[in-house]
Amino acid sequence: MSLLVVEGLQKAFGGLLAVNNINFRIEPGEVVALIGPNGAGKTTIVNLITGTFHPDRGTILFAGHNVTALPPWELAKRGMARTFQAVKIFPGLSVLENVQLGAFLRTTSPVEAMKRAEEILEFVGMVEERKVLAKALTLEKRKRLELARALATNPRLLFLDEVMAGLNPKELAEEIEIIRRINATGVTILLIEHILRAVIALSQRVIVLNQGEILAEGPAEAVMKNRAVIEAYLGEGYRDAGSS
Amino acid sequence: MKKNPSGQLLLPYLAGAVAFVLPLVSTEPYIMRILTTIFIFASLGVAWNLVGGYAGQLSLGQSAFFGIGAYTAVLFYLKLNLTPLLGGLMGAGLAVLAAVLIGLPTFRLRGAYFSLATIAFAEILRILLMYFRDFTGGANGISLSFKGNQPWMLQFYSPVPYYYIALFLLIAAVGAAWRIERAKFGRYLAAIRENQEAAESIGVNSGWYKLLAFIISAVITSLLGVFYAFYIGFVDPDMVVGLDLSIRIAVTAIVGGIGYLWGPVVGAIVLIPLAELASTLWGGARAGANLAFYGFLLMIVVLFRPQGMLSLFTEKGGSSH
Repeated sequence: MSLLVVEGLQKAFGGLLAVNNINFRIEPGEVVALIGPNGAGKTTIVNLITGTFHPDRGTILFAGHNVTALPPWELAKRGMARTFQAVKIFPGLSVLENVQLGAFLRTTSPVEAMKRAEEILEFVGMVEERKVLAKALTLEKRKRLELARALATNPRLLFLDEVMAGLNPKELAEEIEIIRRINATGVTILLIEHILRAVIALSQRVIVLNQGEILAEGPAEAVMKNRAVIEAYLGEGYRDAGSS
Repeated sequence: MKKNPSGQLLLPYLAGAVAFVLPLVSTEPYIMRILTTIFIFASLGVAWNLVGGYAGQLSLGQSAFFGIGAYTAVLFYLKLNLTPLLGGLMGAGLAVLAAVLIGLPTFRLRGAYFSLATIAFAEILRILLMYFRDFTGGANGISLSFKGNQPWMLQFYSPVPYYYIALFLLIAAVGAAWRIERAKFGRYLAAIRENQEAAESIGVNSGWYKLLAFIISAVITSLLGVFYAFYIGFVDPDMVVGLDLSIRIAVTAIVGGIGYLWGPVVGAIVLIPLAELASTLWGGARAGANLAFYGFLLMIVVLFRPQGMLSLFTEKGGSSH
């Protein structure tokens, strides 16, 4: 059974049709990348699935249950977790407290939640910053913190919205490794990313979005050779660079 | 996080011990009255802090709950000769109802709606109490005639029992806030204050937790209203449901240290004697002078010590964050 089934998803903001008749599935254990130019509707789709927005039309099935338009906290309980493109941390709390809050979803014990948070920080390599206030972190570290917080909720499906933007090559390699390890623990991942290197390294499948519609879908190498994708998103330069 | 237990954490226990034995040394009515008032306002501030500090939702209508408690207990006592211990429970029940009525529609919204609704609710209540004067005594209020020492009716000759009851209420309020602050519930309130959308994304039903905090705050506040009415022996709409009172409650917590366990206690210790001094100086000629004084202090603190006066005593401002 598919973990996530999206059928006929549609959302308009005023006169702008942001998401139009989107259909896709995500199988358990997959890493699927959602790519496309800015304004294509990637984040809107995540917002619709995770309950931030309500779709005008369409259904969302999660683990076989209809979860369309459920509130975000309910979806979190059922096993969805996310990061935000515009980072949303708890600025006045420490790194450890931020992650502990995520862990509270599966326990009422502060001690247990703290233990889990320590483990997660170990896992993502942020142990040294555990006492630091979240607002004192760099943007890149804030994104890592969001990832850690999401992970602490013990999700089945994790939405990562541009967690790798702004990373230097070394950090990027590190981040890719972390996401790989998260996936290896059985967490299914939907990745929104502009960095193609990361998309190719991580995803089994790519969905290309353009102007609110799905333009192409398939394995990364195949999709990136697709004419329409090159024209809409990658640009002619990419084909030239790819062939050289 | 754990702090050095020998230093700043000892201070509250020390102050508590002094408060306990003080009446053995002196029962001077004036001192008893000031301290009892400090305990009441500290408790009111602690209750406000649950919503205003921990959850970051500015309530400017706490007097509604205070007044509901005060009037319910007084009316039950007057009409049915019911002990305020039971009348107070009814008052607390009504306060819960009022909190739900205000919180349910407004906690789903963001921005100032909640604050505005709290003000509006308290003002409506105040006007209703004035309007139904046959039942409530209207603007003249209700005086409780003293019928001798009756503990079950919260009537005592001596100020000392009132002092101890107020102290007990303060300890209970601080204890409740302490428990909440350290539990998942309190951490979730902090998450809502810090970023509501992020909180919801990790499973926090923000509307529900805010409502729960508001209900607890309302119950504590209403019980203090019950006590206050029988302590003073008089209620009138302006005194127990006025906007003045709501502002004084909020200012006590903000001046002391918003969001910190001991903040409102420090706020009350600083503000009540100063307010007393101010009303002696200005002779209470203008009721507004007192409030202007609160406003002035609030400005000073917000400008120079936004974390509150508590941060003057402790390096980081107490034990909350």
